[in-house]
Amino acid sequence: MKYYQYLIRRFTGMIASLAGLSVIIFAVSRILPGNPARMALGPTASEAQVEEFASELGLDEPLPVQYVDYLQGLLVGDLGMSLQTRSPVANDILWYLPATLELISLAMAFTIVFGIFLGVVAASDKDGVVDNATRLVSFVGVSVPGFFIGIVFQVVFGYLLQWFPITGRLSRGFEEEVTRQTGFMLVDTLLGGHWAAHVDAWMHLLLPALALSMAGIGQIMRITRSSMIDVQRKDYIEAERGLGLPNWLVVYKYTLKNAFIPTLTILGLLYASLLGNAFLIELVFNFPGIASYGVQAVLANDFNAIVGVTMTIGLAFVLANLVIDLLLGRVDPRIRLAMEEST
Amino acid sequence: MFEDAETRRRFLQGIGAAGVAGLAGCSAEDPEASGGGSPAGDGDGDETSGDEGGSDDRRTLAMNAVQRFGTIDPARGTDYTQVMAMVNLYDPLVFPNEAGEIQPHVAEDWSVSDDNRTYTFTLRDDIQFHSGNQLTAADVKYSLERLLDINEGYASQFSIVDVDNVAVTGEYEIEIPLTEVYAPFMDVLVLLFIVDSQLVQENAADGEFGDDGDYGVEFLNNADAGSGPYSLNAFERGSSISFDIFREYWAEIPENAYERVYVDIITTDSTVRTLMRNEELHMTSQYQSEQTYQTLAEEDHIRVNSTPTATLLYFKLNTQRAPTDDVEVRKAIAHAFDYETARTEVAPGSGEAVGPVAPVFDSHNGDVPQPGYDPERAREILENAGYGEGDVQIEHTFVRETDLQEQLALLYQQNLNEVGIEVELNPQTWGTMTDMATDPAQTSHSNNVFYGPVYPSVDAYLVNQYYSESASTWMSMSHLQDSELDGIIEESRRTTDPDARADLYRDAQQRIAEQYPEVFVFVDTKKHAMNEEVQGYTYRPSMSFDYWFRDLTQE
Repeated sequence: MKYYQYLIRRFTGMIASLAGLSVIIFAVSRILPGNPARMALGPTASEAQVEEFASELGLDEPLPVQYVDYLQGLLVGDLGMSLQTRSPVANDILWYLPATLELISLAMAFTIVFGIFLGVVAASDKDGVVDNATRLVSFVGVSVPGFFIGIVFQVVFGYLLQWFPITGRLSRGFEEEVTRQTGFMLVDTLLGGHWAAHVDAWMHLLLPALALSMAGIGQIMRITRSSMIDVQRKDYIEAERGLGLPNWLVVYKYTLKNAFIPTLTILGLLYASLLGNAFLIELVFNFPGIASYGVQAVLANDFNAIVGVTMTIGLAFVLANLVIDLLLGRVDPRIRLAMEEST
Repeated sequence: MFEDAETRRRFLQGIGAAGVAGLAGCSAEDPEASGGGSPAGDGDGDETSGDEGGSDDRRTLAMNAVQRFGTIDPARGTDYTQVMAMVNLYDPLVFPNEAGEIQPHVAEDWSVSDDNRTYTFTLRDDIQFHSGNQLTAADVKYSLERLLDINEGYASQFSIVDVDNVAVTGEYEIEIPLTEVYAPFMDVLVLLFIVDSQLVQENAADGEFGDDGDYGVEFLNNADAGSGPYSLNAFERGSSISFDIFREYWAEIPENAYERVYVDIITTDSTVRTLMRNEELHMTSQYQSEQTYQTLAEEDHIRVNSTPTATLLYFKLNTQRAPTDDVEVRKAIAHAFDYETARTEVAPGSGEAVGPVAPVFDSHNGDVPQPGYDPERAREILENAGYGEGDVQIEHTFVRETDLQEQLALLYQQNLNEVGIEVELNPQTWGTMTDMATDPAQTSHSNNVFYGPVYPSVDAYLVNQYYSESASTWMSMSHLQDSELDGIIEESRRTTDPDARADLYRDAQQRIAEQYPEVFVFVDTKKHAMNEEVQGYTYRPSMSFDYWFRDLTQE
C-alpha cells in the first residue's frame, strides 16, 4: 500500500467514525428525558408557547427527518441554535474553544516537559531514590482525580500562599482592557500590548493547567521510563557507551529517540482526552471553556449544544489519531517502510 | 507572596509597566479596547471600559451565581440569573416592596376604567435610558408588543392584554386594555421590563417580525437597552457578567452604593469558600451547601444572612392515582411526616409552613388545617378508612443527586413506614420529572417540588398549582380537579377590590388545605454568606427582585 493510499484510508475511517458518533449522540440527545422546549422557555410558559417553540425547533418531526436536517446544517457549519445562550452553537463553540485549547495546550506542554524529563531521569537511576520518588509522583498523579488536585492547589497556592489567582482567565480590571481578537488570552494580551495582563493570564493558566496535566505526567513518566530501560539494554547502546560517547548524547540522542514511539502514541491520545478531562477542572477554576459550556448544556438539556460539543471532542480525537499516525511515520521511518513493504 | 488580590495586581502592573518600558514602540495600546462582548457579539471591540486596566479601586461587589446568564433579553429570560440581570438593567412600570405590595416606579400614577378592563398609566417624565434617550409611553408600548410577538419569557403572563388596542395617549401616558377583567394585572406588571425602543430598532437585524426585523433579539441577547440603576459593563456568558452604576438614574442612589458589581459563575463550593476567605468574593449565591455556609460563618469578616422566602417545599400527592386519590390517605400522610426534624435537622433555618402559601403575603391564611407530626392520628385515619398495615404503597419522586432532597425523602420514607405506608423512592432527573408531570397516570404518587411565585401575588400560587386548566405541569403535580376551587380562583381574578380579593385568596387556601393535595413541608429560607461590609440586602417576594443591587451598600 502506498503512503497516500494509507492516508486516504485513514481519512475515510475518520469520516466514518464521525458519522457514527453523530448518529449516536444525536439519538441520545433527542431521547434525554425532559422537553427541551419547556426547559428553554421556563416554568411560566404556556402549553401553546411550548408547542410553538418545539415546532420552530423541528422537534415535532420524526427523528430521522430531524437527523437529516441536522446533517444538512452540519455540512454548512450550522449546528443549530443553543436553547440556553440563544446563539448559534457553532458561534458558541468558536467562542469557548480557544480558552480550552489554551488550557490543554499548556497542560500538554507540562506533560511533555515534566513527563519525559522525569521519565528519563528515573530510567537513568533505575530503582534508585529518584526513580522511587518519581514513582510516587506518578502514582499520585494518576490515581488522584485532577479536580481534587485542583482544589488542593487552590487552597495551598491561592488561599494559604496567595501566589496565584484561582478563577477565570484574567483578574478584574484587566478583563476590560483586552480586546478579543483570537480568543487565546495569551495571544490577545500580547497583540494589544497589555503586558501586565499577559503575565496575569499566565498566572491564571498555571494552576488549572498543572492540575490537568498531573495524570498525563504520571503516565508519560512511567511509559518513557519503561521504554528507556528497554532501549538501554540494546547492544548498540552498550556499543556507544563502549566507544566512549558522552552520557547525555547516548541518553537523549540514541536512547530517547528510539524509546519515544510509545510515548508519542500516548501523547496524541492524551491531547484529545484532555478536552474531556477539562470538564471538572474548568468548573473548579471557573474557566470559561468548551468543557464548562458542555456541562451547562447537559444540565439545561440544550440538545444542539450537547451534540456540538460532543462532535467537537470527537473531531479532536480522530484528528489527534491521524496526526499521531502521520508523525509516527516521520519519527520512525521503519514504520512507513514496513507499511509500504506489506503491499 | 501576595497578601491579597490587590497586591498581586499591583505586582503584575509593575511587571507590565516594565514590559511596556522595555518594549516601547513594539505595539500601541488601543484606548478603545474592551473585554466585553459575547459569542454573538460583533467582535469589533467597540465597547469601552473607561478606566485603567488592572487598577479597579472603585467600590465593587463580587458575588457568585451557580448557573450562567443564558440570555439578558427581557423578552426571553425567566430563570433566576436572567431575571437578576433584567431587574438591574431595566425598569418595570411598578415594583414590589418587601411585603409584595405594588409600588409606583416608572409609572408614578395609574387609574382603572369603570369596567376594570383598561388601565391608564402616567409615567415619570425624568427617566433616561442608559443610551441617553428619554423613556416615554412609546417605549412601554413597544416593549409590550415585542414581548408578545416574540412569545417567549413572561409573554404568557400578558396574554390577557388586548395588544392591538394599546394606545399611547400622551408622551408620558399609555392606556393598556385587557380582554377581560384580570385583577392581578398590576402584580404581573413587575415582569414587563421596558426597553429603549429607539436603540433596539437601530440595532435590529433582519428577521421574522416584518418591519421590526428580529426585534433586536440578537442585539439584546448580549447588550443592554434599559434604564435600570445599573448598566452592562462586560458580559462573558460562560463565566461572568458585570454591571456599572448608572449615575443618571432617576431615583436616588444610596451614597455607599456599589459602583461596579461582578457576578461570577462559580459552581464549586470549595472555590467559593476560598474566594470568600480571600475577600475576592463578597457575597455567595443562595445555592451553596449547608457545609459552606457553616464553614464561612466561622470567619471573622463573614456573616450568613438567612431570610424566609415566598418559596415552599411541597410533597405533591397525585390526586388522580390510587391510593393517593383517596383524601384520607393524603390526610394520613400529612399527619405522618415529621416536620420539625425536616426544619431543624435536614434544612436548618427553614420556616414552618401553614397551608399552601408563604406567610410573607398579607393574604396568607394562617388558620387553615395544618397537620403536625402525629403518627397515632395517621394510623387512626388509615384504619378508619379501611386500610390495613401495608395496604398503602406509594412511589415518591425527587430530583436525584441533591443531598437535601435525598435526606428529606429518606425521612419521609421512614416516617410513613412507621404508620404502615410503604414508600418506594424514585430519584429522577429534573427533566424526567417535568415529563412525568404532563400525565397524571405517569406522575408518581408523591413528588418533591419547590415552588415560589414569579410575580408578587398569591394568585401565582393558586393558578399555577391548583387551577384545573393549569394541570399537567411540574407545578401542578397533585393534578387537583376541583370546580369549586376553580370558581374561587376565577372570582379572585375578577375581583379588583384588594380586600375582597384577599378574602377570596384566604378561602382558596382553606379549600386547598382541606383536600390535602400536598404535604406543606416548610417555607424555604434563602441563605447568603456575605462579607461584613455588605449591607442592605432586601428580600422581595418575586423571583430575583432581592438582587436589585441598588439596595446594597458598602458600610
